[in-house]
Amino acid sequence: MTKLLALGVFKPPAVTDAEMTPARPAWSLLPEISLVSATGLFLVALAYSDARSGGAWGEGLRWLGLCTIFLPIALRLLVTNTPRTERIGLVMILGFALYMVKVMYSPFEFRFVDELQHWRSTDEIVRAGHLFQSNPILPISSAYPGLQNATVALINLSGFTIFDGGILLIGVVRLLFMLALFLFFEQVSESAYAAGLATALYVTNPHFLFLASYYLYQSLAIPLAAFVLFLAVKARQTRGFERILLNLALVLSAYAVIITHHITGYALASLLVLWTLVASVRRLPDQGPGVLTTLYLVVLLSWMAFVATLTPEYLTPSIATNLGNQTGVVRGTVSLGQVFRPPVGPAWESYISAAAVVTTLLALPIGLHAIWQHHRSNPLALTLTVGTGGYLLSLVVRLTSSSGALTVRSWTFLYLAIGFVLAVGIVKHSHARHYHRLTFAGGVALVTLLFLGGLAAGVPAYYGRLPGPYLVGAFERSIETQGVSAAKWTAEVLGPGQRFATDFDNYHLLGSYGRQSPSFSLSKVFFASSLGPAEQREVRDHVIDYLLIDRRFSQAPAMRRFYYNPSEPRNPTGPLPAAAQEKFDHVPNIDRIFDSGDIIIYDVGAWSVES
Amino acid sequence: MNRKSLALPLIIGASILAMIIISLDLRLPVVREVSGLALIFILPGLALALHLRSISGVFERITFSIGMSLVITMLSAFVLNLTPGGLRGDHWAIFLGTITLVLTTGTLVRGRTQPTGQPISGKPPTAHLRQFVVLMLAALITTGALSLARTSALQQHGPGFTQLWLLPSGDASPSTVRLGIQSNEHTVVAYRLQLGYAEQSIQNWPEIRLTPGERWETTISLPVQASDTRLEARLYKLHVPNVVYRQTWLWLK
Repeated sequence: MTKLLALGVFKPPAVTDAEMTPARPAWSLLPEISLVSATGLFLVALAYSDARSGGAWGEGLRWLGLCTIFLPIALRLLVTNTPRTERIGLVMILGFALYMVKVMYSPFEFRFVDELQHWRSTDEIVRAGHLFQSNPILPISSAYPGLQNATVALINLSGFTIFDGGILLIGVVRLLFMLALFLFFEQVSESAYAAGLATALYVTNPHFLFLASYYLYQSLAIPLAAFVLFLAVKARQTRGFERILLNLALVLSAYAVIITHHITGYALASLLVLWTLVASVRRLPDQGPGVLTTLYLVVLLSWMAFVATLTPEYLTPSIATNLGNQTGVVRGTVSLGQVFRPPVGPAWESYISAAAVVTTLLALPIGLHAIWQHHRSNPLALTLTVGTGGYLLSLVVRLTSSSGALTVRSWTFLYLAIGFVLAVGIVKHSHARHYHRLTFAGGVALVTLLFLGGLAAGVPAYYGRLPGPYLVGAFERSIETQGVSAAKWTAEVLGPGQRFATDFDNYHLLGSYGRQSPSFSLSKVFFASSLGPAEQREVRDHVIDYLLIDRRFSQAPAMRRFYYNPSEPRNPTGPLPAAAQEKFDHVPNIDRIFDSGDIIIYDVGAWSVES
Repeated sequence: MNRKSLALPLIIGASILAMIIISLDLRLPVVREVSGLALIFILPGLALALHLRSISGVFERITFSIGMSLVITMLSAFVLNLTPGGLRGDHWAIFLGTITLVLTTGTLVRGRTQPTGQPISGKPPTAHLRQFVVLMLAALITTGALSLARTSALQQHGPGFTQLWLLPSGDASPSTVRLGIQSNEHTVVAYRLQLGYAEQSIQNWPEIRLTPGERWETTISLPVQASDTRLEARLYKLHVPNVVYRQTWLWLK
């Protein structure tokens, strides 16, 4: 620490990066900080090992390990005269180490339910050898095959499994992301110092640690979008054939974003439109990427109109629910207490998340002022500044939501703006001759609080942060051997494509490894104390062949407060009654065809159609 | 020597090698994997980067190479999807390899009339021996962390379990059923299996011994029975003979 500080914090910094002449080799402290980060990674591995064996030290070790990975890197990035090469190395180490945290959680198979959805999409394409295959557990994914395209290439060319190929792909893309983000921020801010800080601040968004590391289409699309932004800025600095070639690369890359993930495609469109508008309104010499934006919008809308026609139907429900809540609150027909659900988890984590939000709101004006002073002729800098308004809007949405999911998901995009603005604010005040110590201290406090707040607010939920034994209704902690085996049995013995009714977690197992066509919409049938005509009709209307019951639901309440689907009546106080689960044993013509102790499969085909 | 003059033959050689190994399906484990990775993540993008003067920094070139290689791979899938054979290793190799060779040919052609691109700017940063040793130590600890995580994941034993199933045989005969047991216990387990109706036993298997991961299956022809009868299979662990361990049934109509 003393060495870090002695290197440059208390010396009056140079005015710009160009004037700084590093007094030490390009790698400087990179090896030492890499060693510290590796130690942090080892602490996280110890935490996981302890949790898997039922120990009590896992939670503390995990927090310690994550802080050991992040904080030394952030501190070094805050130092003003860190060489550029070292800054780039540090952000790459940061991205890699945090990715390894997720890989170590599930080193042999995908455990997160979203990953299982994409596993199915990839598996279908590998089997068929062609794109646009149906996926009953994520129908929209067949219209956005970018992730699958890249994974199938890895499988076909190098012989990897879907899991190995997916892990490798997201890992490489992570490195690409860190590089592209740094280079983009550097071009916009004209400062490697700001670029490193902005990248580190982006990393503090709650979804960076896990969601951005999942095998998901978003995990590929966002890095590609960062790459597009890097190319967009680069292209505008060139002329002639060079510019034509870069613009071609830019168009192809933008198209790759469109075919990979819907929301990221829209977010990129929003940024391009905003950039063009800001440049136009400010009447700046650089008029923004008008042509690119127009072309991008045409391709985006064409893809939606002709290929991804399911997109509005897929996205509308959650947007409509949130809009309805907000309208209701404004009109007074719904109270805030009715729609707002506080986060689930330890109270101190809620406080630290809230503190991170408040600190961000307090620090933003400093950055905004710095951008206005030094970058107001830069349309992209102004665009990112305007983008911070989205952060305020997202907080309003959070207050009127039953969960923070939508808000926190939006931060995966909005933190591009947040990170940039906060970084510029820090850089500007680090140049102030009398304030650089205060700025350093403030910067340390800011990045630490944001990092801890991001960890507290992100996924997995508190009960799923450490791997370990099965938990009821706990997403990744409910994905375990017995369920996986049952799912694979159905594919092998019953054949693929059967209609199953089951709970949320087994839905994803049956839909992926089982290759079935499951549903989690029949909670009424499972909750009913007896089976009558109403339940029979429900099964028949959904064309269900089989029911899969998990008997563990009557041993403990669901950690996430629902068993089958989020809209079922909430019963957080106790487990499901055993009678509700055993009722299928007492009904004639319901065959009990599979028993693995906790998991039972019933054939209800004949029963559902009998009068 | 101009670093760029080395890059072109390396890219061309690597592309051709990858195309040959993969399209001929040569069994060269590590080489094949590396060739595939190079085609997906490096070669096409690097070949394009050589045309660009503005992509001259080390990190810019790495970013551009990986990014454009990935983009080209992703978009190539749409072209390959139109071919009768679809997405196959040899198709990928030939297509991506051809793109790379076309781009490098373009570089060579442009090189005859005007300078194309610059050597990568700046000297590569050098590491002192001490820094190198520290980096190697960091890599070692990282490897240790991954190894620990994998080992603990492998050793995480949930409770063992056994699967029992009873199904119609699936052929035209209504009086044939399939019976199966799969052991996912942690040790060798001996079972007793009974198949029968409520009042009538059809068949008993007094001892079926399965090792972890082992499966036992059989097909049974049923004797003539009354309708609306429930055919039951009951599995017991030999050392707990009075407790039904697993139970399945079929309603026969």
